[in-house]
Amino acid sequence: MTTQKKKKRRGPPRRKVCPFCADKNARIDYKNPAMIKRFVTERGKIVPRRISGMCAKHQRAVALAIRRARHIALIPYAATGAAG
Amino acid sequence: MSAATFRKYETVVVTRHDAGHEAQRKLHQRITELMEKEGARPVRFEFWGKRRLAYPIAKATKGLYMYHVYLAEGEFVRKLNRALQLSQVVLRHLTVRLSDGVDPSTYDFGKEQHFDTLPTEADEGRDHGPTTGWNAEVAGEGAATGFGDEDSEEDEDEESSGEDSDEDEE
Repeated sequence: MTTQKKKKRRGPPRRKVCPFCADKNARIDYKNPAMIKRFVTERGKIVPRRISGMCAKHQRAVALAIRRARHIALIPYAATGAAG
Repeated sequence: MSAATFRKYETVVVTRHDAGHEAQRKLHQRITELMEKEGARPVRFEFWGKRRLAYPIAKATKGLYMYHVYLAEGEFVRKLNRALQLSQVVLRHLTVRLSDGVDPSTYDFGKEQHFDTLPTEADEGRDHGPTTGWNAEVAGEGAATGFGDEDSEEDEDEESSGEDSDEDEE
Protein backbone atom coordinates (compact mmCIF):
# COMPACT_ATOMS: atom_id res chain seq x y z
CA MET A 1 0.00 0.00 0.00
CA THR A 2 2.17 2.67 -1.14
CA THR A 3 0.04 5.64 -1.58
CA GLN A 4 2.56 7.49 -3.48
CA LYS A 5 1.13 10.31 -5.32
CA LYS A 6 1.05 9.65 -8.96
CA LYS A 7 3.50 11.89 -10.56
CA LYS A 8 1.78 13.99 -13.04
CA ARG A 9 4.41 14.72 -15.54
CA ARG A 10 2.52 17.42 -17.16
CA GLY A 11 4.82 20.14 -18.18
CA PRO A 12 3.65 23.27 -19.79
CA PRO A 13 1.60 22.28 -22.81
CA ARG A 14 3.60 22.75 -25.90
CA ARG A 15 2.16 25.36 -28.06
CA LYS A 16 1.31 23.81 -31.38
CA VAL A 17 1.46 25.93 -34.43
CA CYS A 18 -0.96 25.56 -37.26
CA PRO A 19 1.10 24.09 -40.12
CA PHE A 20 -0.75 26.12 -42.70
CA CYS A 21 -0.29 29.39 -40.85
CA ALA A 22 3.40 28.61 -40.48
CA ASP A 23 3.83 27.93 -44.16
CA LYS A 24 1.90 30.38 -46.26
CA ASN A 25 2.78 28.59 -49.46
CA ALA A 26 1.25 25.34 -48.38
CA ARG A 27 -1.98 24.71 -50.19
CA ILE A 28 -4.75 22.57 -48.87
CA ASP A 29 -5.69 20.40 -51.78
CA TYR A 30 -8.14 17.53 -51.81
CA LYS A 31 -6.46 16.17 -54.92
CA ASN A 32 -3.30 15.28 -53.05
CA PRO A 33 -4.03 12.21 -50.92
CA ALA A 34 -0.49 12.04 -49.54
CA MET A 35 -0.93 15.42 -47.98
CA ILE A 36 -4.51 14.95 -46.86
CA LYS A 37 -3.70 11.69 -45.15
CA ARG A 38 -1.58 13.44 -42.59
CA PHE A 39 -4.72 14.91 -41.09
CA VAL A 40 -6.65 11.72 -40.63
CA THR A 41 -6.04 8.89 -38.19
CA GLU A 42 -4.99 5.49 -39.43
CA ARG A 43 -8.65 4.55 -39.26
CA GLY A 44 -9.51 7.39 -41.51
CA LYS A 45 -11.05 9.77 -39.01
CA ILE A 46 -10.39 13.47 -39.18
CA VAL A 47 -7.88 14.45 -36.51
CA PRO A 48 -9.48 16.93 -34.11
CA ARG A 49 -8.14 20.39 -33.73
CA ARG A 50 -6.97 19.86 -30.17
CA ILE A 51 -4.60 17.21 -31.44
CA SER A 52 -3.65 18.62 -34.79
CA GLY A 53 -3.10 22.08 -33.34
CA MET A 54 -4.50 23.74 -36.37
CA CYS A 55 -6.28 27.06 -36.34
CA ALA A 56 -10.03 27.00 -36.90
CA LYS A 57 -9.81 28.42 -40.37
CA HIS A 58 -7.40 25.84 -41.66
CA GLN A 59 -9.04 23.00 -39.81
CA ARG A 60 -12.24 23.80 -41.66
CA ALA A 61 -10.42 23.91 -44.96
CA VAL A 62 -8.70 20.60 -44.26
CA ALA A 63 -11.95 18.97 -43.15
CA LEU A 64 -13.55 20.06 -46.41
CA ALA A 65 -10.63 18.72 -48.40
CA ILE A 66 -10.88 15.40 -46.58
CA ARG A 67 -14.55 15.10 -47.36
CA ARG A 68 -13.91 15.83 -51.00
CA ALA A 69 -11.06 13.38 -51.20
CA ARG A 70 -13.25 10.73 -49.62
CA HIS A 71 -15.98 11.33 -52.13
CA ILE A 72 -13.76 10.62 -55.10
CA ALA A 73 -12.28 7.60 -53.30
CA LEU A 74 -8.78 8.96 -52.90
CA ILE A 75 -8.90 8.26 -49.19
CA PRO A 76 -11.19 5.88 -47.30
CA TYR A 77 -14.20 6.86 -45.23
CA ALA A 78 -13.25 4.30 -42.65
CA ALA A 79 -10.58 1.66 -42.50
CA THR A 80 -11.76 -1.58 -41.02
CA GLY A 81 -9.77 -4.27 -39.28
CA ALA A 82 -6.24 -5.18 -40.15
CA ALA A 83 -6.70 -4.46 -43.79
CA GLY A 84 -6.43 -0.74 -43.25
CA MET B 1 -23.88 42.22 -70.51
CA SER B 2 -25.88 39.84 -68.50
CA ALA B 3 -26.01 36.08 -68.30
CA ALA B 4 -22.42 35.48 -69.32
CA THR B 5 -20.73 35.29 -65.96
CA PHE B 6 -17.88 32.91 -66.35
CA ARG B 7 -16.40 31.11 -63.44
CA LYS B 8 -13.47 28.83 -63.17
CA TYR B 9 -14.28 25.25 -62.27
CA GLU B 10 -12.48 21.98 -61.89
CA THR B 11 -14.06 18.59 -62.30
CA VAL B 12 -12.77 15.19 -61.34
CA VAL B 13 -14.42 12.24 -63.03
CA VAL B 14 -13.82 8.67 -61.94
CA THR B 15 -14.83 5.96 -64.37
CA ARG B 16 -14.91 2.20 -64.00
CA HIS B 17 -11.63 0.63 -64.93
CA ASP B 18 -13.35 -2.50 -66.21
CA ALA B 19 -15.25 -0.41 -68.71
CA GLY B 20 -11.91 0.23 -70.32
CA HIS B 21 -10.05 3.15 -71.78
CA GLU B 22 -12.35 3.27 -74.77
CA ALA B 23 -15.35 4.09 -72.62
CA GLN B 24 -13.34 6.75 -70.90
CA ARG B 25 -12.29 8.24 -74.20
CA LYS B 26 -15.87 8.36 -75.35
CA LEU B 27 -16.91 10.07 -72.17
CA HIS B 28 -14.08 12.53 -72.48
CA GLN B 29 -15.14 13.27 -76.00
CA ARG B 30 -18.67 13.92 -74.86
CA ILE B 31 -17.44 16.28 -72.23
CA THR B 32 -15.29 18.21 -74.68
CA GLU B 33 -18.16 18.39 -77.14
CA LEU B 34 -20.44 19.68 -74.46
CA MET B 35 -17.85 22.27 -73.52
CA GLU B 36 -17.65 23.43 -77.09
CA LYS B 37 -21.39 23.57 -77.48
CA GLU B 38 -21.94 25.50 -74.30
CA GLY B 39 -19.08 27.87 -74.86
CA ALA B 40 -16.97 26.64 -71.99
CA ARG B 41 -13.26 27.26 -72.31
CA PRO B 42 -11.03 24.36 -71.36
CA VAL B 43 -7.97 25.38 -69.39
CA ARG B 44 -6.38 22.13 -68.44
CA PHE B 45 -6.93 18.44 -68.73
CA GLU B 46 -5.06 15.77 -66.85
CA PHE B 47 -5.27 12.05 -66.95
CA TRP B 48 -4.33 10.71 -63.55
CA GLY B 49 -4.21 7.12 -64.61
CA LYS B 50 -5.68 4.04 -63.10
CA ARG B 51 -5.84 4.28 -59.37
CA ARG B 52 -6.93 1.89 -56.70
CA LEU B 53 -10.09 3.19 -55.09
CA ALA B 54 -9.86 3.74 -51.35
CA TYR B 55 -13.07 1.75 -51.03
CA PRO B 56 -15.06 -0.27 -53.55
CA ILE B 57 -17.75 1.62 -55.44
CA ALA B 58 -20.42 -0.43 -57.18
CA LYS B 59 -18.15 -3.47 -57.01
CA ALA B 60 -15.34 -1.65 -58.76
CA THR B 61 -11.99 -1.59 -57.02
CA LYS B 62 -10.10 0.56 -59.46
CA GLY B 63 -10.96 3.72 -61.27
CA LEU B 64 -9.69 5.82 -64.12
CA TYR B 65 -9.33 9.45 -63.14
CA MET B 66 -9.83 12.46 -65.34
CA TYR B 67 -9.35 16.01 -64.25
CA HIS B 68 -10.67 19.05 -66.12
CA VAL B 69 -10.18 22.71 -65.43
CA TYR B 70 -12.30 25.13 -67.42
CA LEU B 71 -14.06 28.46 -67.54
CA ALA B 72 -17.79 28.19 -67.89
CA GLU B 73 -21.16 29.47 -66.87
CA GLY B 74 -23.15 27.85 -64.15
CA GLU B 75 -25.53 26.46 -66.69
CA PHE B 76 -22.77 24.37 -68.20
CA VAL B 77 -21.97 22.79 -64.86
CA ARG B 78 -25.59 21.79 -64.47
CA LYS B 79 -25.60 20.14 -67.86
CA LEU B 80 -22.28 18.45 -67.24
CA ASN B 81 -23.45 17.05 -63.93
CA ARG B 82 -26.56 15.74 -65.58
CA ALA B 83 -24.55 14.02 -68.28
CA LEU B 84 -22.20 12.48 -65.75
CA GLN B 85 -25.01 11.26 -63.58
CA LEU B 86 -26.60 9.48 -66.48
CA SER B 87 -23.44 7.81 -67.62
CA GLN B 88 -23.02 4.16 -66.76
CA VAL B 89 -19.26 4.24 -66.53
CA VAL B 90 -18.94 7.13 -64.11
CA LEU B 91 -18.39 6.05 -60.55
CA ARG B 92 -17.90 9.45 -59.01
CA HIS B 93 -17.64 13.02 -60.11
CA LEU B 94 -16.86 16.19 -58.26
CA THR B 95 -16.96 19.77 -59.46
CA VAL B 96 -15.41 22.56 -57.46
CA ARG B 97 -15.63 26.27 -58.18
CA LEU B 98 -12.15 27.73 -58.19
CA SER B 99 -12.88 31.39 -58.75
CA ASP B 100 -15.70 33.75 -59.49
CA GLY B 101 -16.20 36.23 -62.26
CA VAL B 102 -13.54 35.26 -64.74
CA ASP B 103 -13.43 36.98 -68.09
CA PRO B 104 -12.35 34.44 -70.71
CA SER B 105 -11.22 37.15 -73.12
CA THR B 106 -8.64 38.46 -70.68
CA TYR B 107 -7.87 35.25 -68.88
CA ASP B 108 -4.25 34.21 -68.98
CA PHE B 109 -4.30 30.61 -70.10
CA GLY B 110 -0.60 30.37 -70.76
CA LYS B 111 0.80 28.83 -67.66
CA GLU B 112 -1.91 26.38 -66.72
CA GLN B 113 -2.73 25.24 -70.18
CA HIS B 114 -1.97 21.62 -70.64
CA PHE B 115 -3.84 18.74 -72.17
CA ASP B 116 -3.05 15.12 -71.59
CA THR B 117 -3.97 12.50 -74.12
CA LEU B 118 -5.87 9.50 -72.95
CA PRO B 119 -4.44 6.03 -73.44
CA THR B 120 -6.03 3.98 -76.17
CA GLU B 121 -7.30 0.46 -76.26
CA ALA B 122 -3.81 -0.68 -77.13
CA ASP B 123 -2.66 0.32 -73.68
CA GLU B 124 -5.30 -1.83 -72.09
CA GLY B 125 -4.08 -4.11 -69.39
CA ARG B 126 -0.95 -2.17 -68.85
CA ASP B 127 -1.01 0.02 -65.82
CA HIS B 128 -0.99 3.34 -67.44
CA GLY B 129 0.41 5.88 -65.06
CA PRO B 130 -0.34 9.55 -64.98
CA THR B 131 1.66 11.88 -67.12
CA THR B 132 1.35 15.07 -65.14
CA GLY B 133 0.35 16.52 -61.85
CA TRP B 134 1.18 15.66 -58.27
CA ASN B 135 0.53 12.05 -59.04
CA ALA B 136 3.34 11.85 -61.50
CA GLU B 137 5.59 13.63 -59.09
CA VAL B 138 4.74 11.20 -56.37
CA ALA B 139 5.48 8.41 -58.78
CA GLY B 140 8.87 9.99 -59.20
CA GLU B 141 8.69 10.78 -62.86
CA GLY B 142 10.26 14.11 -62.17
CA ALA B 143 8.70 17.52 -62.21
CA ALA B 144 7.84 17.76 -65.85
CA THR B 145 5.36 20.56 -65.49
CA GLY B 146 5.79 24.14 -64.51
CA PHE B 147 2.75 23.94 -62.32
CA GLY B 148 4.11 25.88 -59.40
CA ASP B 149 1.73 24.96 -56.61
CA GLU B 150 2.63 21.34 -56.49
CA ASP B 151 6.19 21.91 -55.41
CA SER B 152 5.19 23.85 -52.36
CA GLU B 153 2.92 21.07 -51.24
CA GLU B 154 5.77 18.69 -51.40
CA ASP B 155 7.88 20.82 -49.09
CA GLU B 156 5.10 21.15 -46.65
CA ASP B 157 4.76 17.39 -46.50
CA GLU B 158 8.05 16.85 -44.79
CA GLU B 159 7.92 19.85 -42.58
CA SER B 160 5.19 18.80 -40.19
CA SER B 161 5.60 15.08 -40.13
CA GLY B 162 6.03 15.18 -36.35
CA GLU B 163 2.27 15.40 -36.15
CA ASP B 164 1.60 12.03 -34.62
CA SER B 165 3.93 12.53 -31.66
CA ASP B 166 1.09 14.06 -29.72
CA GLU B 167 0.08 10.97 -27.85
CA ASP B 168 -1.71 11.22 -24.54
CA GLU B 169 0.34 11.31 -21.39
CA GLU B 170 1.07 7.84 -20.06
